[in-house]
Amino acid sequence: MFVLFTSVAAVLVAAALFAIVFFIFSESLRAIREVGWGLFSPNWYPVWELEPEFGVRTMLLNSLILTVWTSVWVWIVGLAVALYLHKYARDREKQVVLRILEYVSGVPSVVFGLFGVLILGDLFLRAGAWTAQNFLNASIVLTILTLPFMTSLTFQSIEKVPSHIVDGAVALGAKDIHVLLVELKYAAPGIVNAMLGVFNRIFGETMIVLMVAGGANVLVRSFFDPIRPLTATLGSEIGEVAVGSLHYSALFFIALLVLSGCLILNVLTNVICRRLERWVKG
Amino acid sequence: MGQGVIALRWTLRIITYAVFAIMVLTLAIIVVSGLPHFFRPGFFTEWPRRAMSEGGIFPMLIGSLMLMALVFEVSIPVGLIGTIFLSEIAPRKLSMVLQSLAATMNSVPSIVYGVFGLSFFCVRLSMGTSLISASLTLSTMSIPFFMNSAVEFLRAVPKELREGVIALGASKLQATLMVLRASRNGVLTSLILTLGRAFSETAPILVTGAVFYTTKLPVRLTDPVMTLPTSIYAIVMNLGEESQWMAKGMASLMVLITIGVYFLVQLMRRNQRE
Amino acid sequence: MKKVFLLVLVFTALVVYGQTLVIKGSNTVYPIAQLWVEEFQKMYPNLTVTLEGAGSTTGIKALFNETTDIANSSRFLKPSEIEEMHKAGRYFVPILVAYDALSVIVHPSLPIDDISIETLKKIYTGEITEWNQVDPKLPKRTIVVYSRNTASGTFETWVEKVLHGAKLSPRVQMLESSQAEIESVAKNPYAIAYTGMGYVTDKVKALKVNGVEPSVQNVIKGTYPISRPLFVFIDLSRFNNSWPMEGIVSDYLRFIVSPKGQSIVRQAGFVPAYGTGE
Repeated sequence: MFVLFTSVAAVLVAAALFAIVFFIFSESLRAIREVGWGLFSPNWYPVWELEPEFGVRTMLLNSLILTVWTSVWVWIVGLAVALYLHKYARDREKQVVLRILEYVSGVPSVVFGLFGVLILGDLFLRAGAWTAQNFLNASIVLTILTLPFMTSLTFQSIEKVPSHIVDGAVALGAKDIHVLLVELKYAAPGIVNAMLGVFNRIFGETMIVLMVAGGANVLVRSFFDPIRPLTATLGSEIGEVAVGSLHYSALFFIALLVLSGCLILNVLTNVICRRLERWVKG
Repeated sequence: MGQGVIALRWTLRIITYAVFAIMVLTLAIIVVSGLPHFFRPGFFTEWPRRAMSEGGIFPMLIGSLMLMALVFEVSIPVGLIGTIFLSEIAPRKLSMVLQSLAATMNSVPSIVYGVFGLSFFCVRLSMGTSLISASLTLSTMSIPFFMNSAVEFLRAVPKELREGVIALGASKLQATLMVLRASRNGVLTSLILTLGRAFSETAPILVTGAVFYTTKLPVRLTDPVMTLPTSIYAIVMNLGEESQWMAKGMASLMVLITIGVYFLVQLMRRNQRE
Repeated sequence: MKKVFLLVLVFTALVVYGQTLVIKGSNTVYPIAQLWVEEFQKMYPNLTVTLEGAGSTTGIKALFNETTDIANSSRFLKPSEIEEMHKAGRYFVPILVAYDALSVIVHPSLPIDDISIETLKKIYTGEITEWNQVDPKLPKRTIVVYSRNTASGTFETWVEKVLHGAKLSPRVQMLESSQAEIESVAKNPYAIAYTGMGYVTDKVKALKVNGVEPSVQNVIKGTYPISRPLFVFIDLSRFNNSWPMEGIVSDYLRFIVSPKGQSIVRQAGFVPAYGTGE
């Protein structure tokens, strides 16, 4: 009886994921059928009566470029900080830095959005950018948002490397840098997990890009260009569209893209990390 | 040895200190720019007036609290039961599958939940833009998050405890209750973190339950609600200079609450270790 | 934990016997509506009113979805909407409440005072991208072009009257509200945007269009080329297909066209449709 009761709850949870995927897919079917390959044109003009266009290509590319650019920085800086905390930091330094990072990780993204619009925006204008809300602004705010996640996960992965591995390497007379490389090798699954998690998070982030990335649908060419990533368009227009219209369906197509991207990344992460674990264990 | 490593150490140190400084600076700027507004008379007790350029944030506070309370009522019981199933009852293979499903749900962007909530709760189930739609959407997000976090704590309870109790004649139910008691610190931590996340999320409630301005507190589940995060968004994007102080004040408040919550969690973690 | 449960139960159990009036729609009309609601609330203290101003299109959609009582709109219905309305058996009627001039705004420091519709069209479709192409005396700087987003009636009016249906250049930045446009232009010396006249303040400069100033007189005379009526729409099919003679919607409508309601229109910076009796 008790067993049955609890299993219902678990089934609900499993059902929810499938429900979400199914729903989003079914609502986007209309757009897929009616617009077809036009969905991948570069222009997004959903409300023109005569010749509306529903192309997501520019938005998709912008989303990807922003994500890749920001992720690389977060990976590098996050790894650097995690390494420092693991190898060179004193206990107190570790405590303080980790705590602050944890605080930052809990801050709502809308608050960072406010920071980007009101505070960074002004700085950008003073620096001569032609628009306050732009690619670089979004990138900076996204970095602050995801750095704690990257750092703490990487740090934990490196710390979890069994000490006998490290001791063994030192005993064999390896130089400092080689020991480091050994540690990194063992922590690799965790680190790669963190890296892909960051990528996922940035790709799916909505509030910050909605507020800070600017609202123009141009393919980014300079850091100060405003862009409109997929999630920003979704967040901005979904509340304002007629249920059941082609525009509505096209927005669901965007949601489908975002969801698929995230699910694919998930699968990829699992596969890669499992491979890495096998390689690490030899 | 020597030069290379020292250079590495200093580079890493500088990067770490720079990151630390930026984080502290960011938090400080946000908190300080809004803190003075706490002392405006009526900031916490009045309604916003004149396009949010005067008055206070009372309805947003209540709205956020009500939303959190509803999310708490829905997601904690379901989440707890689901976690128990995952950790205690399900055979290993099933449990791994379910857990990775929950982990996957955790990584789905919040706007996708918002879009789903809009089309499912608001439209299909005709709940409209309301407290109930928003809280159900948030609960759908929060349950996997809670489960992911809490299951580790339940699993950490040593097998011996369960086996011992059952050997003494306890039923599965009683054994489970024991496990819960043993891991209650961790479960409480997960609960606090889950609620903290529900408190901060914006995108899902922006499209399912929140409105920009309403004149009365939501008293029925079908009423729309004003919350702290959605109002911050609305003020920053829609209103002028004269109203930004209210957004800054709310942002400051949210950061302070976040810091408070995580501070609490850190204390609990330290207690648990001892 | 129990306390929280109880509190919430109390909250959710309280059913207040009062009505709710839901108003959604135009961002341009929003400041007027906000003041209307505040006044109206004083007359009917038991009433709950919710107000949103995401854009005219959202208001009309909400009228279709039956998620609003009143839709503010800065444009008339589109032909597709009229068709949909007939198919759905609805009966939307407009109530004229005010007139508005779509003001073209730039930073006060930009040395330009007048602009033609032709030039505006070229700027917004991307044919012209730098200020010195508008007037050789102006600096050679990129024009930072802002627009309202697609939910907006202001946007629709602009597309109709200035762009003549042409598509906006992708470099144009879409903003969520008229106030955001004012703020962006006030901060950027090379920006251009358009808003309802009620939003214009000293922070920006409103240009003359084709030599005509966007003033109240010129709107009334009809000489300003980008002026438009502001509406409030209701769905008569909810009131037996005839004018609602009583009820909260009826009272609200009577209020907004009354001299007091109209003086609020003037207060918000727009042109009252019915005069204020002053």
